[in-house]
Amino acid sequence: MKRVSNLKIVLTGGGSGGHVSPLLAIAEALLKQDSSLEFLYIGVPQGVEANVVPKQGYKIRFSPSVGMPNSKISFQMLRFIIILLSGILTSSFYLIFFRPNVIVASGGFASAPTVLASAFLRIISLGLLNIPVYIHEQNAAPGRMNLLAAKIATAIGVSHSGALQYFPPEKTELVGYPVRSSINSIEREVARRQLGLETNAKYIVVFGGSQGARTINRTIVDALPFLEDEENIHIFHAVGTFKSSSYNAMQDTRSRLDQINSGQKNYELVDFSHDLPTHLAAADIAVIRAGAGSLQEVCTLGLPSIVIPKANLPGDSQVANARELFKKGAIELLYEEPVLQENVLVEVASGELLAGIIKELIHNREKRHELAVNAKKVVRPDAALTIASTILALAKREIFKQSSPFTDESFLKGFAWSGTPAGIRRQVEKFLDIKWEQAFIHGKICDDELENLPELDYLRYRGAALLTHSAWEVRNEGTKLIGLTRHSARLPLLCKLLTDRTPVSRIKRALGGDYIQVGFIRRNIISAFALIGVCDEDVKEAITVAMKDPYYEVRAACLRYLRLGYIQTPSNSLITLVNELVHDKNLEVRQEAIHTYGFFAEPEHFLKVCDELILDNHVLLRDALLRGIQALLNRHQLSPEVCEDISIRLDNFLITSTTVQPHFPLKEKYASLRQQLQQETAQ
Amino acid sequence: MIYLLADLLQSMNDKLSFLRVLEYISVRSIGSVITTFLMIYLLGPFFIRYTYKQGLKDKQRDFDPHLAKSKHGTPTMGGVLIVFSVCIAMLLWGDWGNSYLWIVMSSLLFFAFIGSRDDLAKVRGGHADAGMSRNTKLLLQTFYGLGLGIILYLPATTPFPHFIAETVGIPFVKPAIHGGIDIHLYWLYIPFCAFVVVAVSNAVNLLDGLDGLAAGTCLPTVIVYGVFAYILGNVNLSGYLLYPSLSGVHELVVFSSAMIGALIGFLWYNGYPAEMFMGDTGSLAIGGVLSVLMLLTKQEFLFLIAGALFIYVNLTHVIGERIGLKLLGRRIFFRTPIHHSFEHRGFSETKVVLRFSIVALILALLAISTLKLR
Repeated sequence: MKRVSNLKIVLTGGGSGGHVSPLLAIAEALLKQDSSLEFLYIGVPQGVEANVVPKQGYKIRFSPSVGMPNSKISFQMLRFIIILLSGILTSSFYLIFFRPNVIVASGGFASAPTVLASAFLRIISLGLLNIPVYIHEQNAAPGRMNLLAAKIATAIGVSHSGALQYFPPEKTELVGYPVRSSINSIEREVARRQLGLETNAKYIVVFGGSQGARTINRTIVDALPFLEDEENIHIFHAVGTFKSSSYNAMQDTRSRLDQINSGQKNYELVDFSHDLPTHLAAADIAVIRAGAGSLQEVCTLGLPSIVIPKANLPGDSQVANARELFKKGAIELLYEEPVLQENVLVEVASGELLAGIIKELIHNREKRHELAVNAKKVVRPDAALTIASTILALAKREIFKQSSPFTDESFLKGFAWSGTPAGIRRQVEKFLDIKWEQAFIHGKICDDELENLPELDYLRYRGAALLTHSAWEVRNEGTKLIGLTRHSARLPLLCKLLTDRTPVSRIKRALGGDYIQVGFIRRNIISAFALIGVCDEDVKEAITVAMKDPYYEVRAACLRYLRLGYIQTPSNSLITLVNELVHDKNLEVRQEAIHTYGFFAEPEHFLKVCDELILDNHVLLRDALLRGIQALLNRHQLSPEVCEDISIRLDNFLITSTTVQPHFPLKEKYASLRQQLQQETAQ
Repeated sequence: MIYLLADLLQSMNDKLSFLRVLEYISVRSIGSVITTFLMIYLLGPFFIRYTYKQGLKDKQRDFDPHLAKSKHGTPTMGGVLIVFSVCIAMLLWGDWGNSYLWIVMSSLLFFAFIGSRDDLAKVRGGHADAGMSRNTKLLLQTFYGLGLGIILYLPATTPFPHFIAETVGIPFVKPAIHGGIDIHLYWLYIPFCAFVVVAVSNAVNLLDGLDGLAAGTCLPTVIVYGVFAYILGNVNLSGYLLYPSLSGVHELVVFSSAMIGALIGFLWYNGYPAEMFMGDTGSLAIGGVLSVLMLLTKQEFLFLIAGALFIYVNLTHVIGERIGLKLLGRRIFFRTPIHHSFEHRGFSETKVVLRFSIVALILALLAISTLKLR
């Protein structure tokens, strides 16, 4: 049967450029295969697509949508739901009138109304109006929208093998990232001549996307002084057009340039470059963010690149993209680090390190060549065409068949740390066989325990990056990760956070909150100290401050930390503080203080505490007293008289108890039998 | 069954009129106490063996080694036994022509159903967090509460005298027929019912966590509502104590007695160290029944006294979890639910359970003492 009408295709996705350009590349490839296709692009009016898509000659319609807010119950959430519902209705009308044969979605909130509308129509028409949906995921860690859309989709294509684990395998295939054919069209020699570059000049292109990236702009400026003695380099820096009250890309960069007063001659600063493809074609090195689109462009060109991924995006997508390419030797990777500036943690990448990598690449021809070769290996030049044929098959209602079934098991094993921050932390805990709650019992983590931890650098980076997050739960996980990876380089930062006294909002204070770095974070910082096991002056000072912390768990943790003995000879003022905490108002703190006091106090002083506590009502305090006396005895410095004194006091000790340790003889025998049997079978 | 049998035999033969003792509330109540207790006592060992074989074992959430390690693997879902024995006792001793009985039995079965789904999900999922989602549970409970509210509110279906159908009872306040005031909620009575059902059933659910705690604290509370049901169902007594008379509500005495017997029987095995747990099946069912008992006896606000312990545990839990752990990132109470806090502060489990039961008993006595204070 021959089709009378042309096939119709709806494209949806956008909000940011990263979701639009792959769609356009797919559309281009589709037209190449069948020029009679009709397209309709459904996007959001506030997105990039509103400008770009009509210029390319595609019809565009808008349906409202906004990004999903993070907080669960809030006004924003209500607004989101209302807008989304109206978006679904609008999209449903477009779908009913346009009657597409297939929907192609590239993720992002702009694709939400249309994808959900297709599911909505499928349900209310009882399956009669069943439009197949094709989804393309550009990132190594998929966004929330695509994870949801995967349930509705007929077929899914992913760019990175790292994303395969998130989608149902029976409908997912690894296709690569579709790039438009124009990207490769400019000859390198032509471009260099156009830009007037000498043959031996090393052209470095720095850009952080159309909006610009603060870290990249600042880092390259910081790197300039270190590059002064390089003769042949020429830096082209596109700062981007971003302007807001807190950051104006151009102004900020200018003022920083003035500050360093660099004598760099071959440095060119522009806000936005309209012929970026020409610059890229001419470039020797690129310094970029790890957006899926930028990475794909430089890799397609085989351009050696230094990538600074943006931390803490949803799913940590940029870092995931960059790590995957770094592992394949296709890029150089430079992580951002959190630095405390004016009491606010900001991500900063080191200019010195960047300059170092640039220098190395300039002088090492083999390295550049290796990067270029590996980069070309990563990309699939036929990605757009593969996707296009799958989409056409869907449009003609042919059954979806995977062209390249996924077999790369080894990769999944290598990619150990993925998921939420808490999930990663739990994986690390399991790996090290440490429970965070038992940090003080475990004490310092040994070298050989850490040795086997894969990708330690990434974990250390991730832990530090999480500290800049706005949600305290995430910062808390960051603290734990730093402790578990024994990242002692971050100790000064942790000390600053521990003693940070920036208050929380007034409402939270009224409810019992205190500082921005909430109680759990401060408590966990001390646990991290215990695991790191290094005690310098900074830590000592921070502990002294934390002994007076308003939150009791922090004070208790300090006392437990003192018992670990990292502080060799505690000062007298510290011992006085412990003595003060013996009379704290909180039971847990008192308990820890009495025990700790036994480690450090002069015997005569400790006897005074004995006098107070031998008849105390509370069993746990008397328990702590006994432990304190034990600690005192273990120091082996007691004179016979003091021992005598202690014995006299213990004669009056109140020995009634409300605690009891359950003891189940049956269960013990059972367990030991099981163990024995296991050993027997093992032999 | 016995009720109907006695009725039938009496009508057949005058000589059998002595059988009317079997229709007395007191006889039927004591009969159901003994029935449920004996049933659980006798079936317990079989039930423990059966659940253990089926793998219905408790999955602990807490990884604190000195807290609960030794309990891992204790058979759970003992609530099934409670519900089953109560059903049998009511089949034997209940008057099934009474609409109060139908309503309270529906709550028992419905909440046991929710709880058992939750328990089974936990067992299948292999850990304590694999149970039914919080929202699903709340939705089902609200659904039941609204349904109950509608039945109690509509004149066609309400078992109450229609002029007090949507009123609520407040301790120390006399109803209008005895010269006091009635507090009418009008249609708001329906959401109020849903609120009571959801709040009370979850309150009991939360208190289940130590050996014998839920059963030990619910027992005095059930007794309170049994006493009130007896008084309100008796025309003379309710008139004397200035309560509205609710004819037919006396059937709830028989039901409460069955619950009491079941709880005592359950404690037999659940006392420290427990041989079985009631699971959510039991705690939700008991909570659901308590909420319906207070709605049917029009003593909703008496729970502020009789159930003060439950309210305290829940308030501290909500404050500690929602405000402390989620919002502020700190502990406000040492641990929640608060009975674990006592455990952490050096009181053994048996002691905490005993003291909580004592407090519940005192509160029950206080609640009963409000009878004459009006």
